[in-house]
Amino acid sequence: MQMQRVDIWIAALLTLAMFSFLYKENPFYRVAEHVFVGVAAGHGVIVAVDSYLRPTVKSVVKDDQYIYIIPLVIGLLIYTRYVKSVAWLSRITIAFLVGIGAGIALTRQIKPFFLDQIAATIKPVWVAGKLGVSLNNIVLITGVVATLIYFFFTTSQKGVLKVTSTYGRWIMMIAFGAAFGNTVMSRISLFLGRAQFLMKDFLGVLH
Amino acid sequence: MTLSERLQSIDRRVIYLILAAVIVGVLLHPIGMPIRVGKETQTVYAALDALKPGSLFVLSFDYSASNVPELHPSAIAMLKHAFSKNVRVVLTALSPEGGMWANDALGVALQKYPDKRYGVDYINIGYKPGGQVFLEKLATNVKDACANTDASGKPLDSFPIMKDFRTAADVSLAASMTAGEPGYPQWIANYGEPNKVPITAATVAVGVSGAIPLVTSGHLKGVLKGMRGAAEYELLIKDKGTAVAGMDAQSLGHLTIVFFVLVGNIGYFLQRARARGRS
Repeated sequence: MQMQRVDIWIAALLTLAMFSFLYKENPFYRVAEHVFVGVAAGHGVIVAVDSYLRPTVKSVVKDDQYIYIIPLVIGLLIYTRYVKSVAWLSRITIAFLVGIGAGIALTRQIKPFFLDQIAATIKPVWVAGKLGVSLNNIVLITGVVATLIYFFFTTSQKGVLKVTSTYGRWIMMIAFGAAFGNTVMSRISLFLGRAQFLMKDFLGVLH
Repeated sequence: MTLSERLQSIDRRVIYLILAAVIVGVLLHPIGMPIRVGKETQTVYAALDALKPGSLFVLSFDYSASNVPELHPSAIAMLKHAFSKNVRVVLTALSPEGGMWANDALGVALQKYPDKRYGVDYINIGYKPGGQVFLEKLATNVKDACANTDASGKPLDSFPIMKDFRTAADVSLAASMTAGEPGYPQWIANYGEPNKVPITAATVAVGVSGAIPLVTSGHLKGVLKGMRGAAEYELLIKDKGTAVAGMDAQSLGHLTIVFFVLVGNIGYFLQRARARGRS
C-alpha cells in the first residue's frame, strides 16, 4: 500500500508498541491496544452505516424500492429489547436470522461438506502399479474409520474396539501436530510481514 | 540449578529475541534456500492458466489487515497472472476491508500491466455485505447483488465489462483469498457448487488443514497455503515478490522453533532420567 511518511510512522510506532508486550506489560502496549479497540469499533460502525443502512434507505427514498421497508422494520425490531413491555418483538428479528441461516445451511452445505466428504473417503485400497496412492488411500480409509470409532461410546471399548480407537487417537494426534505446525507457520508469517514493513518502509534498510 | 532444569526454564524473552534476530538477519542477508512448488499450488496455477483470453475471473479479497502478509502476495500474484493471460478480472470482497486491499493489489499489478483499463479489463465491485446471502444473489443477478454500484459508488451499468457479467454462468473461475468466514466455504456452498463454477483459494497457513479435504474431494481447484503458497505461485509466474523474499526467514524461523522444542524435550528427558535414578 502506498503509505505517506506520517502513516508509516504511526504504523511503525504502534507495531513496536504492540511488540513491547513480548518483554512485559507496559503503558505503550496499553495505549496501542486501546487505540486498536477504538479504531476497530469506529470502523465497524462506519461499515455498518455505509454498507447496510445507507444503501437500503437510499433504495427506499430515491429508487422507490418500498420492498426494502420490510427488512428495515424487521431489523429495527431488535431494539425493542430495551423496552420490557414490547421486548418480545425482538424475537421476530432473531427468528428471521436463524431461519435464513438454517435454511441456507441445510440446502447448501450438507452436500459439499458432508455427503461429498463421505464419498471422497470411499476409495480403492489397491491401485495397480501405484503403491504410494494405495498407501495413501489405506491411511485415509482406516484413519477415518478409526477416528469415528474413537468417538463411539455406546459400548465399553475393549479388544478390537480398543485397538482401533487407539489407532484413531494416534491419527488425531498426527492431525493436531500438522495443524500446530501450520499455526506456527501462520504466526511466523505475520511477524515476517511486520518485520518487512519495519525494515523496508520505516527504516529503509531492505530493498 | 541443574542443566536439565536450565534447559527447561529458558526465559521466553530470550527465545523471542533469538527468533527475531534470526528472522531479521536472514531478511537482510538471504541465503537462497530452494523452494519446491507443491501439487496444490500447481493445481491453482493450472486452473487460472487454462482460462481463455477474455473469460471472466472473480477474485475475492476475504481478509483483513491482520492476514495481509500471508494472503496479499497470493492475491497480487494471481491478479498479475490473470492480466498476463488477458483474462478479465472482477475483484470483490466478503471482508469489510477487502475492497481496500483489492485496490492496493491493483495498484501493484497495474505497475506491470499499465495498459489494462478499468471497467473494460477489470473492475472492483468492492465489499458487499451479506456473506452467503450476497453470494446467492451474485450468482443469479450481479446488478441487484451489488446494488448496481462498484467500489467507488459508480453505477455498474456504465462499465462495458458488466455487459458480460450478469450471472454465475458467465464466470470461468472464482478464487477466494480466505482468512476465516465468510471465505472459500461460502464460495463453494453458495456459488461454486450450485452453479458449477470452479472455485480455487488461498488460505492462511492455520486454515490449511480445513482446506485440504475440499481439495481432495474436488470442491477446490488447489489451494495456496499461506505465505509459502504465495511464494510458490510467484515462482510459477516468474515474478518474485515479498513472499519469495520472506521464505528464507520463514524456514530458518521454523528451524529455530524446532531447535528450542528439542532443547526443552532434552531437558525434560534428562530430568526424568535423574528422577528415576534417585528412586
